[in-house]
Amino acid sequence: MKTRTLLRCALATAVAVALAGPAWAGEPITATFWYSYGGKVRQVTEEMVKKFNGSQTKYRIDGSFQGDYFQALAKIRAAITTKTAPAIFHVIGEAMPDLWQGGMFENLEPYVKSTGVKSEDFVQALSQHGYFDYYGKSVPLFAIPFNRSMPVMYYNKDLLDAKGVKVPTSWDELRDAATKLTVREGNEVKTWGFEVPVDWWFWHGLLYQAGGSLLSADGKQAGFRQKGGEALQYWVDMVNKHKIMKRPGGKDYNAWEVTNTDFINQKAAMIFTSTAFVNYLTENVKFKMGTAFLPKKEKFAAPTGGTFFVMIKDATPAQKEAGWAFIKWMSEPSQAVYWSQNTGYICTNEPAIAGAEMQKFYKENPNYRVAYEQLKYAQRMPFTPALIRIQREVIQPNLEAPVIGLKTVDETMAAAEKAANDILAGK
Amino acid sequence: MGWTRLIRRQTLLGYALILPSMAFFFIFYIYPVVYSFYLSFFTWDMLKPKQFIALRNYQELLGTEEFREVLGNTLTYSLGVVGLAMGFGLFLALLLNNRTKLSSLFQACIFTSYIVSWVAVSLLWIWMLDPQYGLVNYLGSFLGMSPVDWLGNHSLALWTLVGVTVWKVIGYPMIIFLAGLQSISQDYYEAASLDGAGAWHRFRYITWPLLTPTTVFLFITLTIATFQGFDIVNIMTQGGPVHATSIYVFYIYEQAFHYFRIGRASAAVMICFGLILALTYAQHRVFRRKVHYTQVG
Amino acid sequence: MTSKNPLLRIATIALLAGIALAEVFPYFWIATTSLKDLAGVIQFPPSLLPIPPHWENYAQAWQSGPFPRYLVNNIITTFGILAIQLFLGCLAAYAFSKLQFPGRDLCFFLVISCLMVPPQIRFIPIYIMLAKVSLLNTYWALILPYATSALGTFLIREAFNSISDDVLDAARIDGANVLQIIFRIMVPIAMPTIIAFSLFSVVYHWNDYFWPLVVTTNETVRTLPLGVALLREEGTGSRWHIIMAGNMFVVMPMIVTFLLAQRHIIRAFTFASPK
Repeated sequence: MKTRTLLRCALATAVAVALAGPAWAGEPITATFWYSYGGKVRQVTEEMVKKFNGSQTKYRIDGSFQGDYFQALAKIRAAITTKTAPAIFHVIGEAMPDLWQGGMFENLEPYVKSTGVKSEDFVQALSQHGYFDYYGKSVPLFAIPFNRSMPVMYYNKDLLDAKGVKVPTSWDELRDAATKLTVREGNEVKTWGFEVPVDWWFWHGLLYQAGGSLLSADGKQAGFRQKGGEALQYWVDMVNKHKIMKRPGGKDYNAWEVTNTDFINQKAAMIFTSTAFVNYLTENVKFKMGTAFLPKKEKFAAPTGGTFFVMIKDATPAQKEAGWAFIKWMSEPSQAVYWSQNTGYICTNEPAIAGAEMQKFYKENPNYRVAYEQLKYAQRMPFTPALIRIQREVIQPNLEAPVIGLKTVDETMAAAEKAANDILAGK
Repeated sequence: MGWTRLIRRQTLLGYALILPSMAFFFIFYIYPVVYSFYLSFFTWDMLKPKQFIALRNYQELLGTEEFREVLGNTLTYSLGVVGLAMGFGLFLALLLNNRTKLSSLFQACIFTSYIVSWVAVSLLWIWMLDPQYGLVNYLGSFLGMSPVDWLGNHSLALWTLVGVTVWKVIGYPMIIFLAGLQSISQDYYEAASLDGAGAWHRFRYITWPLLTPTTVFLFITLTIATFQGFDIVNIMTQGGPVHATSIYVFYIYEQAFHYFRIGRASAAVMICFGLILALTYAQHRVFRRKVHYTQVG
Repeated sequence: MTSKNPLLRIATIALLAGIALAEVFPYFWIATTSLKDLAGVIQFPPSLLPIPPHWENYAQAWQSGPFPRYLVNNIITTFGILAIQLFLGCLAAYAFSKLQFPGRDLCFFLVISCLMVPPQIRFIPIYIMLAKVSLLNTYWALILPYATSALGTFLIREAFNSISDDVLDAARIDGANVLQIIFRIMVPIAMPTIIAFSLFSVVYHWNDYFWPLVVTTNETVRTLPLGVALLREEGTGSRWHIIMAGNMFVVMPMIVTFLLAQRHIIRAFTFASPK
């Protein structure tokens, strides 16, 4: 008799537990996070995902490494079509307007409000509202800065000191410095004065340094033909006329790799590349290295780069809750600091930067500081769905042709402007 | 009466045997192509709804210089690789057609690169061909050559890829030709030498004709493989410099996944597909007459 | 072509040795690079041997992902694909070659036209299809799209074509059923072609990078070439030594298998020579 009652109680409890569901039993809510870096950045990302999961039991983030960035973008579109997309993703700024218009992203303002996140704590120039020029439109918050960067000039201090060359601060000074630093032996160039990937990002910087802008003041027409041409001509001359700049081979990130390798190998005395590599370069150079602002023409200017966290609108409310918890956690001061110090990306949390730990860090590692200081010259990107196409289809593939002598700068810019206007008009 | 039963049985049997294969072909090959055909009349970026634009994708493609360059590049790459690989493959097979240990060693060495992955090979050669750090230019400097920008030179890049491809795949035609050579009965050669035929004669009138099945096999396999060339371009040059190495499959991939122009990519698929079908048909008619099979059994 | 002239023989051997070296040396370069450190990798002029050898590169590459799992996945997909390709291919090839039935040539033409459809073209519709039936990121997603090979069917049919009908009639008289005819009689005769095609298929699928990249979203079914390619960092200088160490994982199984099977492969080819 007694055993039966006992058994009945046990059964009832078991049923109650089962019915109460995972929340009562302590099952974490899971959400998937797709990310696309390699190497050190990937390591740090995975560390932080693990840390987040270990720091609480309510949510669990499943990080999934997707490899190539553009493959991931394609996969996520297909995934959205079939409703199998992850909850959290990270995306480059230039792609965001198009994807936002396509309805991919969750509006994050309710989350910000309900969890008490202070948007003023984010470094303005790095946040979504600081990144874009909305041309008067009202656009809600849908992206939180993740790994954000700026292009900076890295220089080989030893080589510069040996030739008594001052760190250049203007286009003319850069050209003169590069001329002095280029070393030739017969037909071969032993050291190039200057090297930069012939890439949209740096061209954008030069465009604004020359006093130009990508679009017209109302954001409806392309406006880069003349000043963009000046920027391109500057490179073309340095490569072909003065022969002091090396054009790194390979497309997209391959060219960036070559630039970094050449700098480490002392084959290039000065380079432009992302502050994201400051960690990598510091660890591997065997000479004194310095960083500086990109030289100005009419003014100092540079774009920001890197990616933002976004949440996919189609995810379930539970997944979005988990995803937001992760994003919020990643943006907190201690995580932001850890991230920045270990990867070289700019710290996104303003109070953290002002705090003692980061200040000490910047003092000991002045090269990390330059990008942050250059932020005051950050140029905004136009918030238009055409932006990503202008970058990837109009500008990026066509910068090369004049540099290798296939077309003139004028031809290239004229064609580019027409193509950009076509895209803006919705063709 | 006996005939109809026979035919019906054969029909049933025939369809039973090909049904699983045909099902797979329909689902995984034909349906995607049909779907692509459908998509080629739209503009679609996989995110926003499709927009019907009729023939504009085709107009835009055939009107751009870039697409015509892509077709030209693909033809150059394919013919270059097939011609050189088969030529050198046959040459090597002729030289190695003996049962010595040395020959086996050489065969193994030459075949190795065929089975190594394209990813490994491409990364390796990017580096070996580097204008500044590459081994190739380094060795070239001993021969008095000044450094060449193998992958960055607009006129040279495609041929560099042809070279790397031939280097990688040469083991395959070599082995297949070897098999073909070894299947030719020695009796023919003995009879020919008795008649006083020299080496060239033996090759031209015995070896070459009897190799035709092998040659056809290789020509078809290699042509198809080169038309599908992708990894080497994707890793080594991404189609550059300025479309010099953009070949068919890469171009389509670029349109679809870098630019998200699914409609245009689909139209490109259709155009190339049509061209290839025409080529295959032409090839089939040419070769049907020239093949000499050796009956077995 | 063996010449009696000793000078010509020496020249020939020297030429062959040069070619063999050119073919093998880069592979050797992968091996030595995998043992260098970063400084040794980007050094110019390049040094030949890594001194001291950095074996820890292998550990680093191995730890960058679940490599044993990648290896198993690679084996399962490559040989799963081959098995189905050969089975279905032989069945279909027999029908196309030895049977007469209405619509046969049309079906065969359809098969041939599939030869011209590379994976980059089929990707999107198939991805969407697989997602709809929740088969993404499974072995099925990796195997099914390749389960039939137009090339294999075509080649095996060609081989079957050259087998005289007398052989088949004799077998039928002996009471053999269709499957026995196909697999006990025709396949052994067509073995050189089947081996040649199998070689092609195994090498292609073992090294396939694109398809697994597209249909896998995490590490459960990810394959080896992917795992190695993921060693590449975007933008920083290449960690060639780690990448090459990873490459060795992909390459070694193939090379070892080839060395072991080399004699069998060559011997299979000589099967066809008339006695």
